[in-house]
Amino acid sequence: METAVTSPRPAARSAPPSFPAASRATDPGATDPRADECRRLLALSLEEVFDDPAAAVGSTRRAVALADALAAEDGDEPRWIDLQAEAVAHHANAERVAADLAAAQTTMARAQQHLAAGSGDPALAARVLELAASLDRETGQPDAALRKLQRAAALHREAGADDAFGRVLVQEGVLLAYVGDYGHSLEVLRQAFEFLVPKQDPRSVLAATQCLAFCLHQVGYDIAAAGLLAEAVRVVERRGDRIVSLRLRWLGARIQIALGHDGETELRRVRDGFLQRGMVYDAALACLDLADHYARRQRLPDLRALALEMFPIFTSRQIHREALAALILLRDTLSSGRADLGLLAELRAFLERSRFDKRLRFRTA
Amino acid sequence: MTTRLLEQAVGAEITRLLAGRGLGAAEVERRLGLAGGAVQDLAAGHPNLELVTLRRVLTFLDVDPTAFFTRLLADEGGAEADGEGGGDARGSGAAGVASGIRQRPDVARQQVAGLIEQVRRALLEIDPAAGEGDS
Repeated sequence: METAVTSPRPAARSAPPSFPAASRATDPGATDPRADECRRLLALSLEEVFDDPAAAVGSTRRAVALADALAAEDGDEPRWIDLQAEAVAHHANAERVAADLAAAQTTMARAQQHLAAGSGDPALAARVLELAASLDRETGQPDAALRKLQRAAALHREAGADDAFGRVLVQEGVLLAYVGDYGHSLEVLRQAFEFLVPKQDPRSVLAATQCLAFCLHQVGYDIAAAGLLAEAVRVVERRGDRIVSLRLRWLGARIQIALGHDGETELRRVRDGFLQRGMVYDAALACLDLADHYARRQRLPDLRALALEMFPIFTSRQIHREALAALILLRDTLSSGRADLGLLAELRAFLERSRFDKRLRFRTA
Repeated sequence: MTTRLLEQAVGAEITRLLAGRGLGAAEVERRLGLAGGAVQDLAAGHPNLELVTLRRVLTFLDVDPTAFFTRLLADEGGAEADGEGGGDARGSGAAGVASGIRQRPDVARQQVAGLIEQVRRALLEIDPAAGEGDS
């Protein structure tokens, strides 16, 4: 199951559900300009999370303040409680993408409370479920995430919202790929494309494309995956989605290496791109891909040089201190003339898990 | 597929609520003036769930429909809104569905090829220039 936790995972943390921030059943914006502003901020945050998660946290925080103010003035009005639920859920989502998972969990619990107290709008419930599922996935609860997505899908289907249904199926496909169920992921993605409207929801199409390429890579269709990624990267770069582009290129570089081609230069570029955006964890994981590449080819001098390059990255406050200790262990094995692939794999798995669990301790097998 | 999940979860919950009150489906149908089999279908998780019927039944059983759905959707265990314990049927149902999904066979090569073509067409819809280049 090592592949299930290996980045670049499909539609990773920077790819939240990309639904419109307008409620179907209630329309608070029709009666108060603060509600309009709240919804504008939520819509803005859905774009910001892809390139600037910190900005999305700020936008959603302001949206929550507006919704809270409306609810405080008229606490029995279900539409304001609905607006609170929507704003708070988006705030939790922004916190998740900004890697503050503990805060995101607390905030999402508050969103669920508002949801329970609101109008019972099934479209809103479905959207909150989608966001909560993304959080479950990132906090290592894929079964809970899957159940939430299936319920959200059922609600969208019930309401005849085919586009939303397709979007949730994409998320379901991503989740299944995440847990290593590639065959079923592909089947769910196939269903999703029966409902997606690409021009209306390009982000879901791109997330599905990344997921499909990842699954194809995992089951051995590397040539097909590489071709698909090349097309997707062109679309993404023309759209200006820089972080999505980095993730697609990261996967593309790994596939090129698997095909025996030169993916090393691209991996370095991707790592540098993550560093430029302060995405230290992803940079560290890209470094480990490079390390694995060198180790498999017994390029020990390159591996030693890379280990030195990795130290400044691993000393970042964002990286678990235990990972730094593991890196020192790796350096020591290198100085003894060994390239320990097992240790590299353990370090990568640890790095993935410690992102969400700061109490984790590194142990070698 | 996913709609069936909801219907089945609702059915399990209705069955549990009826059993908890010692009521039969036929009796509820009679007291609400519903067509014969309406509540029975609901409890059996029958396809094409009738939301209007469900709401009437929930109201009759003194269960707040909003709380019912929220509980069903929020996937939370613990005490019921109407004071009853339980939740086993809901939990095991969801787990069963998840495991059932995982047991499905892998997609055949031909299906993979079809899916790749679907995705390519979607990318072209987003950006007609996507297909140009060196791939």
